[in-house]
Amino acid sequence: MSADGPGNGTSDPDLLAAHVGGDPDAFGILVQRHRDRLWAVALRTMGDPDEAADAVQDALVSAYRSAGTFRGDAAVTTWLHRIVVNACLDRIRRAKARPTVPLPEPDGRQPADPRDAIGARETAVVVGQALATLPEEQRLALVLVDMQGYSVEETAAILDCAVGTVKSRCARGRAKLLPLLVGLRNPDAPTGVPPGSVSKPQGGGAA
Amino acid sequence: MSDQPSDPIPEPLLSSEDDATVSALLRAAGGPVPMPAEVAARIEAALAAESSTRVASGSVTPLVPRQRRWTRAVLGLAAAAAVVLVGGALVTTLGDGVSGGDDQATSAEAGGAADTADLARSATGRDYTPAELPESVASLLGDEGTPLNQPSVPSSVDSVGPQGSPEADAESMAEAPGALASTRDAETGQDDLDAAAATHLVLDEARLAPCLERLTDGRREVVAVDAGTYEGEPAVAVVLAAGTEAVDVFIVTPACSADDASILHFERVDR
Repeated sequence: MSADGPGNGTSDPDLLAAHVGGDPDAFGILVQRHRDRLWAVALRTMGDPDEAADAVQDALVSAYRSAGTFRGDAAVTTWLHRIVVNACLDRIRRAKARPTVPLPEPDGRQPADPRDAIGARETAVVVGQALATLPEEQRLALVLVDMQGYSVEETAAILDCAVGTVKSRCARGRAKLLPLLVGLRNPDAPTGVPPGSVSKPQGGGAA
Repeated sequence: MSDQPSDPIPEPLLSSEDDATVSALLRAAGGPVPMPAEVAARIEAALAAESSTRVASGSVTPLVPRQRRWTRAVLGLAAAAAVVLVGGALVTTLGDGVSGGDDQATSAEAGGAADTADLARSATGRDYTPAELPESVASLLGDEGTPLNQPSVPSSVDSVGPQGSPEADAESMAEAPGALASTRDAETGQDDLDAAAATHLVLDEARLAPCLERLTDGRREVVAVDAGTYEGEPAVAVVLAAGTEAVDVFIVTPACSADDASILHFERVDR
């Protein structure tokens, strides 16, 4: 995915190389091309638009400065996502170190009554609240794989971990989310998923 | 971390059906999310700051911290500001904006000649709108790119000290580019407070400095700052140099701070 949108006809690596070579417009084109996907990852990971904006801005400025270190061993999009993800994790961990900043507590509490959730907006709210209860590694894996549609392999490259680790994080995360989401309408079924129609997570969700 | 990154085999935490159900729910709530224009503008501005730095330094990855131009400009202003209180209108000019005054040289010496020469702070009460932003900015900067108020601020401004003795006469009030919006409705206290907040942001270094830091990351030249309104709401226009042919205009709320620039509008306009 390199030639869609702004800068048609110029690949991502060529744009990055042009930027490194001094082209004043190349990086901006790259950003325009990918910013919506980067934004979606940051927004869903941070759960707060202001925090997400700060993270993406930090990440893209960092990417702008460090473009010369890109070696081409990953796709440019993977590299950009990795920088955004790291910026998000940095902000999350810094926020945790600040006791005055309220944080989503990964304590498994049910943040809302999903039985009241109707429609896409409500679904998004409930899902967002449920995601906020997860450890950030599990949240990131699910955001990338399930919500953004990246392959497990691509997600592993973004998160700089093994494919099996991504699968494990996804499985553990889904198990934690299940009791929080059972009241939501199953998008793949003609009727909703009634509470209690699904099995309980096994193994006590040790994650 | 609570999971085991080295674990290559996921534990069978859910049945495959339940696992797929949760995955489908997440997928349904996922998908693309367009980046809000405000965020895109912020990032564009941050990258423009990087770009201008790169052009100036000739380096892709400058390692030397850049000069914080606005900081020095603000310090220069604090040392040599000429403040005119005309009814509700506050007009502050700096450097070249005050023709023929001794303050020009003083401010240049105090804050660094090149960096402070073009900064002008004002509270015109001008109503900025997207449709008329280029014209408003051109008017703010003046036909020749000179700071605001040069033609209309009376020469007596030079004799007004930092305390801002309100000695301007009615003529100068009429000629001032614009009184604060709130002064048109002096009986509405809240309007005055709101407009005053915008003015205070412009004139209070302790508040303006973090706001400009947020917008410029300390790397861009601030050309002008003007308290007014944006589509009727109290706002501050911050004009940053963008090369010699254009300026970047940020319209922010009076709440602009180091943590949140509170941008209402961003646009690059030709000088």
